[in-house]
Amino acid sequence: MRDISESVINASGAALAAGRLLRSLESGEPGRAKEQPSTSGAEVRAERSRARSGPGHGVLVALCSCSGMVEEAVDFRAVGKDLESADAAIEARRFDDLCTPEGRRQLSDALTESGCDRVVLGTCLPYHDRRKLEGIAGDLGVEESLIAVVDVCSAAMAGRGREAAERAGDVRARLLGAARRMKAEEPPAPAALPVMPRALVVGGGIAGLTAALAIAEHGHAVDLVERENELGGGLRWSSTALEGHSPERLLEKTLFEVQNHPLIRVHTGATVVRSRGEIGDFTTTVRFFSTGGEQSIRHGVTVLATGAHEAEPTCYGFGSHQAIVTQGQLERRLRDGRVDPARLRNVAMIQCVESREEPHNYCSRVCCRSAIENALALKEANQDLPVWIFYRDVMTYGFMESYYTRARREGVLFVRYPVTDKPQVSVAEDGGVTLTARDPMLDRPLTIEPDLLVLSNGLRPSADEKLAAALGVDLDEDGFFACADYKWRPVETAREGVFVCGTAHSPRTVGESAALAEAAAQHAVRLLDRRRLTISETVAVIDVRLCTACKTCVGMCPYGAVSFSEESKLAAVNPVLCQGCGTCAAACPVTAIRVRHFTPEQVFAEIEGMLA
Amino acid sequence: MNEFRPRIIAFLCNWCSYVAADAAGVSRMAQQPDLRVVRVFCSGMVDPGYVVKAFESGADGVLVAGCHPGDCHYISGNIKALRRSLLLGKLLEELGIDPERFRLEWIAASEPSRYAELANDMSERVRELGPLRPRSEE
Repeated sequence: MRDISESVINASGAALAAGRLLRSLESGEPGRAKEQPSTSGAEVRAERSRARSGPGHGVLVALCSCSGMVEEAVDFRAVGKDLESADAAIEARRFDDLCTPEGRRQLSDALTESGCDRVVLGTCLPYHDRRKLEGIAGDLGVEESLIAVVDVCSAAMAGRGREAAERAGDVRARLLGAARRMKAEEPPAPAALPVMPRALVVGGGIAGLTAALAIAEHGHAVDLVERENELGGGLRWSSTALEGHSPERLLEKTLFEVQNHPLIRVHTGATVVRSRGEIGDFTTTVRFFSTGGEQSIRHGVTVLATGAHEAEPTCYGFGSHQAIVTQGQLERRLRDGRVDPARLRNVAMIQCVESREEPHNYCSRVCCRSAIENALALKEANQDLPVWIFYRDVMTYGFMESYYTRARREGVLFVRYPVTDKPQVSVAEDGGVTLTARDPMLDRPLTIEPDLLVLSNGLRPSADEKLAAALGVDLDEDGFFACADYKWRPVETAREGVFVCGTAHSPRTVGESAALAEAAAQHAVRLLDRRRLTISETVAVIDVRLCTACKTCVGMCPYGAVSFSEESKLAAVNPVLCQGCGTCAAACPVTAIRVRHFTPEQVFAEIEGMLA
Repeated sequence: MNEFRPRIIAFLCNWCSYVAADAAGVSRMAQQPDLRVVRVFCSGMVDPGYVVKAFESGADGVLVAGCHPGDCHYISGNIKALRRSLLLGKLLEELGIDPERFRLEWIAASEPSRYAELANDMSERVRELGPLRPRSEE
């Protein structure tokens, strides 16, 4: 039984498995993917900062001394200093012979080093250089439109009799003019941006472990952050499962593989305090509880697997009597022998405790299954033990239904109750627990005195608002991480490059959590494999000449793609984050923002054409 | 004199209403042929100026259709469109254009029949209102 979202999740998981196999065939080593050559952090940073830089980011003014000839006439150092103090965006450097290959190499190095993204060439033969501009642009990796050529030679040499200061002033004025113009030049949208080849997985339960392992097996580095001091999450306390699988073995195997994988770094006893950046280049700060120390991790994708935990019931006398326990407690006590089914006389279970009603309007999916599991275990050990399950609806979807049938066959008594007429539990002074309910079949009250009352109280998400805020993602109305689209994008969040899986996503069984984790891993791998993110052509661009700094667009953008620079007093669109919805363009009072390929001119032309 | 055939510009969101319009066509639902579709990515992309421009260029009616609230492909573009539409209605009045000639509707991708109904309804309504301005015989 699969709905659309589950089909999508399973399909992603299947794609992941196929990818894993293909890779291991490629590497020639079964079960081990080829490790990928990694891009260095510095490379990613340099390229991204160049792309991000809004107008006026950095102008390198390159002064060519023409083998010292020009420098004899003008003091380059003084001019350089002067320019740098005139505009913070300017960085001036002197070179000996920019026309030689060696000079070009020096220029290229200086450009990388300075982090500037546009260039003013102060040289001797502007016509010569202008013709060669294309070649220089290619050498430097800078768009041609972002390189200006200024003739400093003539200004420096003209009228040798003039004061040196006057000549320097001339040179300075020309260079400053060109630099200012370059500063205001709009950078062309980059076609692709590099991806930081590392994944961050938050949460070390079965979902997080599965995701981390799957990503690492595809040859990408993974940082796994777990709040507890031990990996394993919910599986550490939940051991039995239907369908003959042993979660204990699954956990043991996964843990072993994770802890021995060379590409996985595990950080236990740590939590995420903030995560900045964008798809392909996040910087996340992790704090360690024991030392209070912090560590920054740079990564290209994030997988959230913070899980869920069994809710603590606040009704049916929970906490007032030792015979009243949760399904999880019963499971553990059956395992460690603290509950002996042979010595029990009467067991009652209540389903949907504080679930499927305000304020927890969701079904936890696992409780019916746990109840039937535990009931069957009790019946197996003590065939004559009466086991009552008070339920609203039994959710044993898919193949689980056969266990429900088996439980009925074994004599487990299922009694339905409506939410308006819940069973009543009272704890007597002398220590007995009494449960009264109405049997809808017999239409008469039912009173039993169980010596074990088990509450199925469902799952609550472990992540809170604080963590969600630190990660920059939203929670849904039930407190689970909100996905971008429940049906078609089930593991993606609204923040690009952040995926969610396991019970942090929605209540899930172990198998379903692992399936979600594989789907999330597949999305992560798909991004990391691309190594470079191509940027959609259809993005908003701002004509800075028209921008009035009203900041209307900044608040409009649902993706945080529009930012405002207090320094330049201009708005800028981050093309990586922009999804091209155009709401900023529609809101801009001066039409300074346009969406490429959906410009007003195009729309107007279309309207006019249609009405002509 | 020929029968009045309204000309209606429909800005349809790429993800919902455009898909619905397409499906309505594929399913051969009976529709008045008066709507002329401009595909946009989001109803929130429709600058109120586009609507005014459409009227100026000779449209007798303008429909903007987006995803149902909560279903926007871009999270909340449709809500922004709704906000703008309220103000736009007032502006149209100022311009002497009956605000009824302009409509903002939500049509999901799975609602081709709703699209066809709305198209017919809009067409009928604009027919009743008559041409926005006298048209020379073609």
